[in-house]
Amino acid sequence: MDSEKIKGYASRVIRPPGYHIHPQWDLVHTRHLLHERRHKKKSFHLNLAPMVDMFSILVIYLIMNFSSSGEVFFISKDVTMPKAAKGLPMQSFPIISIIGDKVSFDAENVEGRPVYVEEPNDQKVPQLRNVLKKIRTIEVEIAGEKNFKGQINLQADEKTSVENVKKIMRVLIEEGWTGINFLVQPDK
Amino acid sequence: MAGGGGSEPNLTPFIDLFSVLICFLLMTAAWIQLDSMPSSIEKATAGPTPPVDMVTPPNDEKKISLSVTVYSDKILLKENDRELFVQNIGSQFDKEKLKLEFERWRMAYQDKKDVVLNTDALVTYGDLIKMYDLLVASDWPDVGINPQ
Repeated sequence: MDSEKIKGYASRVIRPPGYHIHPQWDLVHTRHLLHERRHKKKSFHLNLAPMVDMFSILVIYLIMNFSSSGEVFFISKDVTMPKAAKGLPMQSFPIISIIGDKVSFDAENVEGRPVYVEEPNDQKVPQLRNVLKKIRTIEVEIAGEKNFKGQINLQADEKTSVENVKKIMRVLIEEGWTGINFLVQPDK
Repeated sequence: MAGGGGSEPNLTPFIDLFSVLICFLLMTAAWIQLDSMPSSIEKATAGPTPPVDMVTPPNDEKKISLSVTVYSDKILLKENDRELFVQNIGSQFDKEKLKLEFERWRMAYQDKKDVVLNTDALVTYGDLIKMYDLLVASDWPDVGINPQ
């Protein structure tokens, strides 16, 4: 720094004039701060600490609400599930939905591809029977007849006639799917 | 400084990690939490009892048959041949009276767990589930829904 201030030859040193006003109360530190501020590099820096805080809270919230037993699936806006206080946690099984006069079946095959069938809800329901038979055959081949529990989830609107539900229950029983689980909204 | 150097830690890797975690959790989150109520189809659809000479030692539990039949305006509680009708209050079940009856059943048949639930054709699915829930809440966990 001295090399910038001191110029000229050794015999005649030229010093740049410094602060030469010396009032009675010279505010040395204030002057120094003002000088520093004036010559400070103009750099923008984003404070990341609040962002890390926010992310931490989000992660904790999502982990607390994380459910490994639940299943993400579509519920029609026309369906209002009945409420029940004594339900058990839902497990992932194929789903049969009764919406109006239609019945739909939603599951995944062994390759993980979706299997979806929708048809009118009558006693015949050939497509539904066909797909139930296929999935049952595959599961029996894989796990054996004894280990096949025939578990299936059934969802319907609370205003649906119980006859429509029973029609499907009879079809399920005829096809060997006797573990029928009725899906409900937890009433807690 | 957050970007580097100095005594402050570098927060960028934290943000990367949290971003990945948040994406994963959001993608796998089950937004719709549902419960399920399993039904005992075998018990509800069990065929007629075998002839007396084929039956192995008499057992009080096997002789007793408890069933609840839901009609649109009333509930029929059947305890073998004894029948009791409980009228609905408006469109709602008379829960207090039903609970008392279920508790009486519980006291009378302490080892028994199963009840068969029948419904009339005019009843809605919501009513069926309400009655199922009431039975489970009254300590009758093994409810068989008759599909006929």
